[in-house]
Amino acid sequence: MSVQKYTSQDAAVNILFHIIAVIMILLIVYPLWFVVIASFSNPSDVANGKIWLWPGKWDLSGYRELFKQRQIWVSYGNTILYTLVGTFIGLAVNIPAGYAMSRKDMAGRKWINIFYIIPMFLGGGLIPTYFVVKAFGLLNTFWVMVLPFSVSTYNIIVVRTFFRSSLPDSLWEAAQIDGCGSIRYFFQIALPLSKSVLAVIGLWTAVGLWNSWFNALIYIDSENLQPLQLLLRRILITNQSLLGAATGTMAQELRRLSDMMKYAAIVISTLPIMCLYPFLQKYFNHGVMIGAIKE
Amino acid sequence: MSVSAALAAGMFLVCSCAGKNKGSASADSQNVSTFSVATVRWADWGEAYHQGFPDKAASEAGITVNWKTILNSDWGDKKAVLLAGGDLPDAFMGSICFSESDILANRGTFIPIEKYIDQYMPNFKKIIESDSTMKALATSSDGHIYGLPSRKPCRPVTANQMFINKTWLDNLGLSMPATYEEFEKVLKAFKEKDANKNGNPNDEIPFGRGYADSVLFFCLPFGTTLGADGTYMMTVKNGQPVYIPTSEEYRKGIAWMHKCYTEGLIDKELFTEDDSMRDAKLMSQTPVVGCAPGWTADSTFGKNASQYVALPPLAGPDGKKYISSDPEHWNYSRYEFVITSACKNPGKLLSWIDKFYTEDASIQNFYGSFGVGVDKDEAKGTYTVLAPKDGKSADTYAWVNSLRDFGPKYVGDKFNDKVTYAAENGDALKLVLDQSMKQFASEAYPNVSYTPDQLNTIATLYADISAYVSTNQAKWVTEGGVDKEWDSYLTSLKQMGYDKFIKIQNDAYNMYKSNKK
Repeated sequence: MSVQKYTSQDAAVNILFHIIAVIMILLIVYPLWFVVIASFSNPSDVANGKIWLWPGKWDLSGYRELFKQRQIWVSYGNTILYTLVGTFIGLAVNIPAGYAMSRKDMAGRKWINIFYIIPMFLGGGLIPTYFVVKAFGLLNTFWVMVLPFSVSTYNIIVVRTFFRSSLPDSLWEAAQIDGCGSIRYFFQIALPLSKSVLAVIGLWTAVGLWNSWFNALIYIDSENLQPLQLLLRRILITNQSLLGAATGTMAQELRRLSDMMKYAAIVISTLPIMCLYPFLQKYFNHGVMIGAIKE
Repeated sequence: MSVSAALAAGMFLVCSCAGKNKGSASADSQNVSTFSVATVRWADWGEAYHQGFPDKAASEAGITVNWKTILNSDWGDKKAVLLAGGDLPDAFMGSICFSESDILANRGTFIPIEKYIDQYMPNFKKIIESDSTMKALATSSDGHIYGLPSRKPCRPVTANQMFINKTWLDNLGLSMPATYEEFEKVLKAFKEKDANKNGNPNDEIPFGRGYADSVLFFCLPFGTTLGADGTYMMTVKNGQPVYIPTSEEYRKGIAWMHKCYTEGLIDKELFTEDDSMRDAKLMSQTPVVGCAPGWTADSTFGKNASQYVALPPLAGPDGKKYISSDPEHWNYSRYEFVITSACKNPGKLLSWIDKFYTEDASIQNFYGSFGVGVDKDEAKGTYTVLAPKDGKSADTYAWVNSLRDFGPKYVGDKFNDKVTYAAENGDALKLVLDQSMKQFASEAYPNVSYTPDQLNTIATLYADISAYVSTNQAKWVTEGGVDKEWDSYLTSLKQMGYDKFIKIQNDAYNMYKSNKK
């Protein structure tokens, strides 16, 4: 088979595709770029629509105001802690469950499967969940952010499909013949072979925990336990919640502060995850389809 | 192995936390002079607001108060969970916490307190006997008292008002307009000439969005006397409750506003811009807004405030002048303190709150305690509001150091005469503005109480009615047609239940009047 000749028609189509691709990239990248340059610009310039492609006058007031917030470092630390501990717990809970479900010789597999699937679609609602969490005494503690919502049926199914499709039964049989027990097989053979699914589930869990604020809103009262996203949300939606307090300059000042800090807040809350992403990129690209196809 | 160890450790921690919670609960129920009071604040300003007068009054009353500060941006979600079955505090401080419909819909959660007044609240008893408004505001639609009302010190009679750029008037050699026709001419001059003297005659916005209802304030010369937020755009004309968007005054005002809009005198983005854009225009480096409504020039225009002065009420086609005034909503309020069913000793708690109903307490709970926000001259019986000690604006300083707008308060009619201000203060500015404006105040729709049924019906009806009114309002101002479409507009409103809506307002108005006697 010879290689087809590269005609000028091919070249034209090639260029066309490149142009379309570049336009799409710009459409996606521009909002992100805008947020970054807006965070370094004067806030009233931003509101006036004067910021287009480059930051205006270099202005760090957004960041300065943000880091003056009383609880910013405490909540930053909390979010990092919740993410680290929560990811570990999430992996510790979901991976073994997925592995167990993947083993065809596990007793009661069908019923456990149904037991997991039903709550994925039918939840109890906010108030009953609140009562359950309260009954366990988890209200207003560190653990409420990482323990109650750590099991994700979706992740378990992904893990299960991964193990089924990538670990052949013959491997297990061979290990059995050599005297390997189930648990030892899991830790010494299955886990080391599943780096990609660990990275995928780990990243999904970490991003979910990094972004979480609703659970903190409902279950946590103490301001020393609140995560970063909750603090930022409060700052940013001050605008909408100030009706009726429009007398006096207090309302205006809060609104101005909120406008100033808006873009800086977005940048500092997404920066760590965006820095983490490239390191996990290679696993992610390979692994995201990993649970999807049953060979 | 490590997984199971981690899980075991987790369970252990969970159990120990559960044990700790149970322990503290039993200690509290025996110690009935410790109360938990929750309050909602607009922003995270720390705990200084209760560390002055409120805590001192608590120790004088022989009780301990555990304060729980909740932020308003969280409160919406937290409220639902708390009312459904969370741990209720003993009481809530501030009308910001619950609306009337929250309270009357959850009457099992909030207890009536009228039976404690005689024994535990001598100050408050005197007040409701002498001030019929306070009595009416304390009473809910079912005749019980669920929440304590307040009357704030140092508040004006005027609500929001219009401000006009005096520098522009001077630049163009114009005098302050006195009638609505002169006003229209002034706006035209703002538009056509280079009023802000920056070389560009086209960047001026004669009338822009401010911090109040743009349409109804623009149309004030015609009699659209709007009250406070949340009053369903009701007002009172000739002793009858009137829904402003169905009145003749509104129709004529909108027709005039449309004429001005076609002449380019009104910001084209009036109905579409968001709050950030509005603030950017009002406070831009070179002032671009000629006229806008707000509370004071400072709170509306920020650092451009020095260019703006109050626009005196303009005479309308009937020669009368109107302002927006609603003291019963802006200066008084209901439900500033409510007690929940979790409270084991309401009487004792109320004896502490009774201390809030003195003039000393009220001004301290508005500006900050003695020595922090305000000082009292015992000999003369006068008060001086101090300058902010941390360089912040006076308004923010007051919010940081006191409950400010919220919590029980009461001052007499002549109280404002006893107060002087040591430094520049938005409240003082407003009171000065008020002097020349308040004579034009007309009767506003009072602070009525609705029954739960009325509240439910109004909520459903008003959602449709107000949406319809807003869309038509925007259409008529920008495109015109108010006179042509007026009759079909009224018919549509009737189909949406407008008759029921106005009947409820009439009933509530009559009930309020009878409670006042």
